[in-house]
Amino acid sequence: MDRGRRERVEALFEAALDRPAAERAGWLREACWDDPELHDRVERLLAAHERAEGVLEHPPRGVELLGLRVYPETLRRVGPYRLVREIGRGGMGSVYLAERDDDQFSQQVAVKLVPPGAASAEVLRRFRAERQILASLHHPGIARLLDGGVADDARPYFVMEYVDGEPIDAYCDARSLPLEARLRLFCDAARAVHHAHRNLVVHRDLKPSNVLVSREGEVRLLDFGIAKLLDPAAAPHTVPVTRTGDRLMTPQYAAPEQVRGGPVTTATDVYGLGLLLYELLCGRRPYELWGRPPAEVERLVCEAEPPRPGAAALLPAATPDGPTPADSARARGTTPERLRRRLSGDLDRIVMTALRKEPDRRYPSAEQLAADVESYLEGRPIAARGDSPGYRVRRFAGRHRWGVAAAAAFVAVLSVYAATMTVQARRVQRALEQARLEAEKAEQVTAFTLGLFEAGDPTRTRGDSLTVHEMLRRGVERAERLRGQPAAQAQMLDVVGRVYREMGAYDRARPVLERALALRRGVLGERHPATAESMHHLGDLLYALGRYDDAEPLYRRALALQRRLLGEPHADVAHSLASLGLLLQDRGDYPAAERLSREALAMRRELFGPEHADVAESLNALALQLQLQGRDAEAEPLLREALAMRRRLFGLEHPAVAEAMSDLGLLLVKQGRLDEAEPLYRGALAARRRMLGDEHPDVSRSQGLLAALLRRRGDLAAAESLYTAAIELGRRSMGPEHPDLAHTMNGLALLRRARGDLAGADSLTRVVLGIRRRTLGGEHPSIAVSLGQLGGLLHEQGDFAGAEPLLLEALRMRRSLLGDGHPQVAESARQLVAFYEAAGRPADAAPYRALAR
Amino acid sequence: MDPAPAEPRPRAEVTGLLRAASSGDREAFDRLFPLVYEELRALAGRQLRRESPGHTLEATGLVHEAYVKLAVPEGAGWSDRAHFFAIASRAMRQVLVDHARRRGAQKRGGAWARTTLSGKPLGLDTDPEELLALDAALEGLDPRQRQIVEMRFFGGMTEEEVAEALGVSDRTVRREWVKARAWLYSALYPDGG
Repeated sequence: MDRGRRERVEALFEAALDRPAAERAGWLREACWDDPELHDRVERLLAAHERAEGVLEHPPRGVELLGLRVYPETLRRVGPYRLVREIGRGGMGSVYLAERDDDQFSQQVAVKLVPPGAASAEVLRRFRAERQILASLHHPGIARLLDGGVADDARPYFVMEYVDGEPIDAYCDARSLPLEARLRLFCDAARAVHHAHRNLVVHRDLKPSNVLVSREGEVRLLDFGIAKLLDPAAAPHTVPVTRTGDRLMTPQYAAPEQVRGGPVTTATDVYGLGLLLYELLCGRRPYELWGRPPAEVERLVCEAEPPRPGAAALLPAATPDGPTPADSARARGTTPERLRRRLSGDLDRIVMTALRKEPDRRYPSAEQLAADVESYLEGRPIAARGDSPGYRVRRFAGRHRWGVAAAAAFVAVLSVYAATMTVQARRVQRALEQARLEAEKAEQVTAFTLGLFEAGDPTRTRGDSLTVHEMLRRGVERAERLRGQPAAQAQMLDVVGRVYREMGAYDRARPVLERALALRRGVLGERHPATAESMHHLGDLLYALGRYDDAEPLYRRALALQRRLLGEPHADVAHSLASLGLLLQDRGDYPAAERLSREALAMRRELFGPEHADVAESLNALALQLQLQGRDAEAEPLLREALAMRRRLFGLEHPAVAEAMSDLGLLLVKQGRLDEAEPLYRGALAARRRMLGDEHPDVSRSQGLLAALLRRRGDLAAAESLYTAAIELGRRSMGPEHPDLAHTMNGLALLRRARGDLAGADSLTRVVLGIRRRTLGGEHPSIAVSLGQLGGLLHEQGDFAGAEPLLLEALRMRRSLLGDGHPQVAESARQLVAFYEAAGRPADAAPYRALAR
Repeated sequence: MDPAPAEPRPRAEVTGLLRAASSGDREAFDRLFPLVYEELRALAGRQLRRESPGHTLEATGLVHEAYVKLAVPEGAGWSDRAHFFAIASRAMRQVLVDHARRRGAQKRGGAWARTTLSGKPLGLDTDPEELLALDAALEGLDPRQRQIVEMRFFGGMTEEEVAEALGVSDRTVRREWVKARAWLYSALYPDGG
C-alpha cells in the first residue's frame, strides 16, 4: 500500500469511528462505492480496532530478569590498547575506537570486544567466527585484522584497522560524484566482496553503512559480524549456509531468499551489491519498505518487479524527507532527464540482473558483476541480458497462477453481467471484488506454502525435522480453516503432502495427498492441470512406497491429461515423462524407460537450455537405464556429466549430488573399479546423513551400497555390520516390504554365501524373492536375479532337482525381459552350463553354450 | 564476578546530546541511544543481583531510574525530559527484544509468526515469540505511530508526555494511537484473529 492509499484508509477509518457503530457499515459502503478494495481495507481495520480495544494499554511489567545478565563496560583498556570511545555496537560485541599507547606508536585502531556478561557459548562462537573470517581475508578493500587477544577479565577481543571514512552513498553525494566515479568505487567494493567469496566467506549484510570510503577515496568493507563461512569442501557459489532461523539481515537490504528464510549463498551478496549499485546510481532504493507490514515487505521483495534505475530517476521522493529527482540528479552533476537517459539501457540491465529474484539467474559472481560494470565504463558490450518476453510471461503466470484463474473467472462474470451493465454496475463490482479477494487469499496460501516448502526441503533444513513436522501439522490445521475455498485448501494439502513425502514420512503423506486429489477432482473436475498435478504427486508417493501397480496408472493418466491440457513442450509434461520413465525402469522395462527419459531430456533441453537441474536429472536417469541394459560404455559419460552439472548447480551438499555420486559408484562397482567407487559411496552416505538425518530411506540405500562394495573387497565383517544397520533402518523408514530393502537384504544373502553359510543365504534369498514377487509383480529382472541365486545355492547344497527349474526359469525371464544380448542373460546361461556339467549331463548344456559367450 | 558499576557518564555530555536530539539531530540521537540502552541494561542487571532470582521489576520504573541517573535535574526542562523518554522507550524496546532473541526465539521457523496478543501485559516473562512478532509488526507502522507505541507501551508514558515529546496535541496522540493499535492488530491477525 502506498503512502497516499494508507492515508485515505486512515482518514476513512477515523471518519467511520466518529459515527455511531450501527451506522458505520452503511456509511462506509456509501463512501467507498467506487472503490471496493478501499472499502475492504477500511472494514478490516475497523474490525481489527473492535478487537484491539484494551490491547497494549498497559506497559510491559512483570519483567522477569532471569537470563538477562547485563553489565556495563568496565574495561578502559585491553592489552596495549586504550579504549577511546564506542563507535559501533552489535549483538555480538561493541567496537571501540582505541589507541595503542605503549609510546612506540600512536596508532588508531578499532577494537571489538565481547560485551561484558554476554559471553555465552553462542556469542563466543560467533565472535571467534568473525575473527577467523577476518584473519582469512587480505584485501585492500577489507578492513584488516591487526591483532587479537584476551582482556584482563578473560574476554576475547580483536583489533582491526580503523577506517576513518563515510558510508559510500554519503561520500558520493557529499562530493557530487558523477556516475563514472560512483561506478569505479562500486567496482572496488564488488571486488572486495569477491575476495571474501573466494575465501568462502559470505558477508550477508551489504549496505551503504558497511561500505565505507576513506578520506583517501579507498573503499573498505566492514562488519563481518553476521558473515558466514561456507563449507570449505564445497564449490563456492551455491552452497546453502544458513538455516531457516538465521534471520539476521537488515530488512531494508534483504534478498528474497533471506526474506523467505532460504539458503544464503554468494548470490545473496550479489543481490546486496545490486541494491547498493541501484542506490548509488539513482538515489533511491528499489522498494521503499519503511512503514510497510511484514507480509507486504515479503511480497515486494520476493515478487514485485522494481522500477528500473533509469525510470526511478524521475520518480518523486519515496519519503517526505527523501531526495527528489532534482536532488539526486544534482548530486550526480546532471539533470533528472539526462540521468534517466544515462541509466536506461546497459546500466539498467546490469542492476536488474544483479537484483533478480532467483539467485541462480543473477550474476554468477561478484567479479562478473564488477567486470560488466567495467565493460560499461570502457564502452564494451556488457554480458547482462534483459529478461526475454517469454520468460516474463512464465514468471507472471507462475507468480499469479491464482490471479490468472481469477482473471478468467472475472471475464466470465463480466460477460454474464454485460447486458445489464449500467444498472448492475455495483453488483458487477462486488462480483469482481469477490474474485479478486479469492485470488488474494489463495496467494497468501501460496506464500505460506512456499515458506513451508523451504522449511521442509532437506537441503535447507538439514533434517531439522522437529520444527518442520510442527509446521506441517500447522499447515494441515490451516488448510482445515480454508473449508470454504476447496481449491486453496487442496493446494495447501498438496504441498504439505509433498513435503512429508520428501522427508520420507510416507504414512503421513498419503492421507493428505489423497484428500488433495479428491478435493481437486470435486472442485476442478478431472480434466484440469491441478488435478493432473495431484495425480502425479500421489503417484510419486505410491512409487516411493514401492507400490508400482498403483502408481503407474496415476502417472499415465497425469501424463495424458497434461499433454492435452498444457501442450508441448511443457515442464510438467517433461516431469511426468521422467517420473513414468523411472517407474518403468524399476518395473524392469528398460527400453520403454529409456524412450521416456530421452523424450523428457529433449523437452527439458528445449525448455531450459543445456545446463539445468531437470536436465541433469534426465541425464542421470537415462544413464541408469542404459547401464541396466548392459550399455555401460554409453552410460558412464552421461553419469559423469550429470554429476558435474549437479555439482555446478547445487554445490556438494545436496541430495541430487549425493544421488549422482551414488549412481556413478554403482556403475564403477559393477565394473570392479572399487577404488574409484568407494570415495563416491562414502561421500554420498556422509552427505545424506548430514542433510537428511539418520532416519531417512536414502541413508539406508547408501549404507546397503557401501556394504556391497566392502563385501566385494572381501571385508566381510565390516560389510555385515553395515548391512545389518541398513536393513534395520530400511525396515523402519521404508516399511518391511520394499524393493529397495529387498535389494539390501539380498546383499546380505550374498555375504552369507561368501562366508560359506549356504543355509543362511538360502533362507534370506527366499525372503527376498517373496518381497520381490509381492512388490514387483510376476516378471522382473530382480526376480530373475533371486531365482538364479536361489538355484545356484541349491546346486551348491547338492539339491540338483530343486536347482534346475529355478535356473531355467531365471534364464527364460531374463531372455524375455532383457533380450539375448544382455550380460545377465549370458550369466544365466553360464550358470546353466556349469550346472549341467556338474550334474554330469554335459549334453543338456549344449543349447546354452552359445548364449553363455 | 561482580564488576564495579559504570563510571558515571559526564552529565553535561548527556544534556547536550539530549538537547541536540530533541532538535532533530540524528547523530546526537544515535550517540545518546547506546548510553541509555547501556544504562537500562545496567540498572536491570544490578537490580537482578540485589534481588533473589525470579524477582520481577517494573520496566517503566527502570526507564525512570535511568532518567534520574542520566539527566541533569537542574538543567533539564520538561521537554528534555519528554525527549529522554522517547529515546529511553526505544531503548527499552530494544532491551526487551534483545532479551527475547537471546532466549532463542529466532530458532522458530516463520519470520513473522503470529502471536496471542491478549490484553495481558507483555514483559520479559512473556513468550519471546510474542514480543518479536510485535517488534516486527512495529516496523510496519508509519514512523510517528511507531514512536507513539514505543513511548506509550514500552516507555510507559502518558498521552500528555508523548504529546510533549512529539510536539503535537494530546488529541493527535490519541488518534494516532488508536490507528496504530488497529494496524498492529490487523498485521498480527491478518484473518481477523
